[in-house]
Amino acid sequence: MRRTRRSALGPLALLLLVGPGCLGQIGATKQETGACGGAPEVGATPLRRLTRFEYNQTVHDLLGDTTQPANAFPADEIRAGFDNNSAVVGVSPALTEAYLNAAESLAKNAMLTPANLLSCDPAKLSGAADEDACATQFIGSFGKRAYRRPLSDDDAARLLAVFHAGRTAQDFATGIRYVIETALQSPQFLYRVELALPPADGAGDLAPLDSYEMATRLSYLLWSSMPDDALFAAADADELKTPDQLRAQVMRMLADPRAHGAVAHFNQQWLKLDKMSSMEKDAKAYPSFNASIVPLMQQEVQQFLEEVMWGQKGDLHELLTAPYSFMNGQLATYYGVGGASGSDFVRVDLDPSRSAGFLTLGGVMAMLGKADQSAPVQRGRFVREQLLCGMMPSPPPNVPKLPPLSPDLTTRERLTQHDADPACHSCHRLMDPIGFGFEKFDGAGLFRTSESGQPIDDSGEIEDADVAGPFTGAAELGEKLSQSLFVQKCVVTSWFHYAYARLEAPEDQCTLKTLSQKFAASGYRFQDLIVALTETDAFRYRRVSGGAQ
Amino acid sequence: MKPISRRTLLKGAAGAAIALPFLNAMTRRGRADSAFPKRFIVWFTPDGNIHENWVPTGTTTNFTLSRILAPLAPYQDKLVILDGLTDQVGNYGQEPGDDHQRGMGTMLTGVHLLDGTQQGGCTTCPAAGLAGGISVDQAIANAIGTTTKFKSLELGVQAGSSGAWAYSNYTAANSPLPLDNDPRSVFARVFADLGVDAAALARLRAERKSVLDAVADSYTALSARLGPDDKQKVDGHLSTIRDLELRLTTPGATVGGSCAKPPEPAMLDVMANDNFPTVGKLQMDLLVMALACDLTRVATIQWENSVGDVRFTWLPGQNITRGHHDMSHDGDDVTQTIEWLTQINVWYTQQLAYFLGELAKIPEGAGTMLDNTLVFCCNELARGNVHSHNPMPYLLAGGAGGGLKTGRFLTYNGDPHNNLLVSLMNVMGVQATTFGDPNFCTGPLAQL
Repeated sequence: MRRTRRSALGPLALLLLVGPGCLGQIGATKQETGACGGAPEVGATPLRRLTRFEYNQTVHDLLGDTTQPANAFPADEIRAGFDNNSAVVGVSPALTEAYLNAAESLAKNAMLTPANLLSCDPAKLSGAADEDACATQFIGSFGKRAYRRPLSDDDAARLLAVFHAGRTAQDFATGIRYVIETALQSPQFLYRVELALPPADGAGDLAPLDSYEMATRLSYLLWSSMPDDALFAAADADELKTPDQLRAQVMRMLADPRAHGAVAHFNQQWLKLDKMSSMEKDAKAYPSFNASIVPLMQQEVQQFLEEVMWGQKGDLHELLTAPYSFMNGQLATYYGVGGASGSDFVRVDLDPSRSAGFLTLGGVMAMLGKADQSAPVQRGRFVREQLLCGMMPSPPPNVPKLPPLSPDLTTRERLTQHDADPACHSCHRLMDPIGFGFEKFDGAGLFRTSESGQPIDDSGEIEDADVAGPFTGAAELGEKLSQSLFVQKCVVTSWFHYAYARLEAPEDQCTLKTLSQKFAASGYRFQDLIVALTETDAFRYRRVSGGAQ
Repeated sequence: MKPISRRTLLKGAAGAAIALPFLNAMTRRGRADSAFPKRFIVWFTPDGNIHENWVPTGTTTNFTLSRILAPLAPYQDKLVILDGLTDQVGNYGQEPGDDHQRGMGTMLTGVHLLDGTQQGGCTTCPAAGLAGGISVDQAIANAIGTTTKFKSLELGVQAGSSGAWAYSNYTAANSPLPLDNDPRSVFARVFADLGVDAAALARLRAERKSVLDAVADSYTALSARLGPDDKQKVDGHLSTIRDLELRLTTPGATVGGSCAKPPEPAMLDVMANDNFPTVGKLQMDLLVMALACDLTRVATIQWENSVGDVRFTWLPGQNITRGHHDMSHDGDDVTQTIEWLTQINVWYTQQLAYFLGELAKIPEGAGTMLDNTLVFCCNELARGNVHSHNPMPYLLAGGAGGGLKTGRFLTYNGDPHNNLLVSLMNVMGVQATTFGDPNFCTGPLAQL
């Protein structure tokens, strides 16, 4: 049968000298042949459904509702690390019920202040004609915002019929409530329907997006939410067509606070930050750690990433090398560094010889540490998977037991079996020697210089990457990684998976190549990569075969 | 929290010793009463079992329960213990996924996993997606779950929520049913409208009917404009809307007899490790009441998930700090771990005994609800440290409304577990001659 293993790295795959079958890759890119810039090419673009995060943001912007009803939905299926993958995963009965319940409670909340929604005063309506006029006006304006485009005649007629059903059952307000409930469960709201334009002559099965669909692609990529009034106005004027028009919108939108939330949502998933909330540490091993430290560490990580994504430098080198962080007095005391007091978080400069930016933030080291010890394997695995985009297998059956924690052995010494046993070595060589670089940070994120009475040895080695070779300490590791083509490519690939809600296909090679070139040309600035994501074939076109006709 | 009293346990242990002479007499089909519905329950626990401490000794009808199964002594005449079956389809080496993923995905579906993006622990297998077909509980629910408020309920106890490791239940290929891990959410979903006044309920139903009719119309209209892949997605969604509409017209539950609105569970961090036993008991109690009120006839209780790594810190005197899955990889020479894994499985059997006991407390005709229920206890693996799929530790409990001859210990020689899935259908009164991948199914399971 089929099932050949394919590399997502293209020609870079030639650089890989991977132990047999240990390192996996996802996605598929054909060998890069030929030049880009010819006829557009795009992989299949399946219909997307709002994630829980997007649903909450959308009902906030649509109705001003802050109840975050999607938190009660069944969790989004995670594929390739992200919650928005559009590969077919069926809607469960429980989710359909949850959509119903959310729609009912949202509609009820909205009708507490009908003046925010309606152009008329329900108390002053006289007669059916008056009511119909107001309802029709509401359906047109609310419907356009809920469905993110002007309603078709059929859609408008369907919602008016529902209004009449509610009006007949009780009163005018009930009819409006029915309309809201219906709209919030309709596919035009829950899905990102893209059907407006057919393929141009000679364009095969690639169709462009109309201005409303483009407004929606922009708003969900940059804000994880629906278009705002300015985007609707641009779509009404059909002014989301040329590269200049799009770029102007993108720059405007990146300056909006909503963009920060969306990027943070990407980072949360890319950098596996959900793990922070479930951190537990052993009180005997780490007596100064307690539950009140966790939210401080979370805030530290968020503020650091905010600075790296949106600050002056804003680039990959900063992410992996920056010698500063953000703390308040309590957290600074916990870490044993000066520079902060009181409850407000301030920027604290750290020793550059110890710092690898995000990687050595106390919260990250603790998140990637065990309850009672450091964790070179987990830390190395994190770098290998999240930054180098390799997929490590889970441990095999019949794992021999490592020596237990002991006052006489360092963590590095306890892991020597991974080096000695060939069965362990074939995979652990890709993780442990990277993780050893972080040994000066204990399992609770604290800096240390000795373990079990011996000075810490934090020398390590990167294998199977373009920056392969030995290094000493986290700072040198971070510097190496920040120069790695593999890491740069991995950032691009991760953003591709998130931004387009799918894995890359062979047809996406020019999109990926363009993204990598623009990322490089910008000096690996994250904001420039995000702008570039809106300038690709993958963003500007949809494939009709298999998906929408 | 202590779900099983010391007294029950002692009684159980003593029961194992003294009950043998009565066993032959007790081997019989349950006291069926066709006035009561048949129910089907999946009971999942993960990471394999310890066979030598699980398998009974003795003959088909004259057997002694093992250490792990001893807590079931009070119900020995209500059991069918199945030793020697193989999850052949999960064990087949060329398909996507590692042994855990395959075991989980094939357990109730009998078909291979789809291609996907989860590498798992197999370095030579393609990465796995989700299961490739309907699960047996849903096939049964399609037949017997059409008249109740819920076609089925899927309750988790710290179950996962993503990938092949997470799910037992599928309505179709790639369509997993999420587990609800929160007893408060289960309570709200299942019992919220129990006892609500009739007029208000009628108003709500009429409203939902109007709204869902219009919603369904818009899905139908959209579906017609889509290509095959997107159409499948939208049609699947539409079918769940139609199903929800249909259930609005079911009469719902009437409080009375054994059906009462249970107390609302207190706020609880349901994913906190040490709350595991408390959450489990709440979920069991809610499920028993949902069955007693006939709100559903098909359900799953999934404890953890495949590769579940709960730390069984509450096992008395053991001070276990490692996770279940982590320990399940230790070799047989690590005797302390084998002992702990045995104790974990004993604990799970104690929970099962509690659950069966609650079912047996509800009178139905001349018997109890347990006589009208079939509980299928399963695991994604046979033994954790070798990731095997043979012999699977399967166990059936309850009389299935007369469909099952209980009080038996049956042994097999590697027969495919797909055959058992066929028999589960048949025992529940659903016609079937094959289930799952026909390459791994030869018909109903012999002896059942």
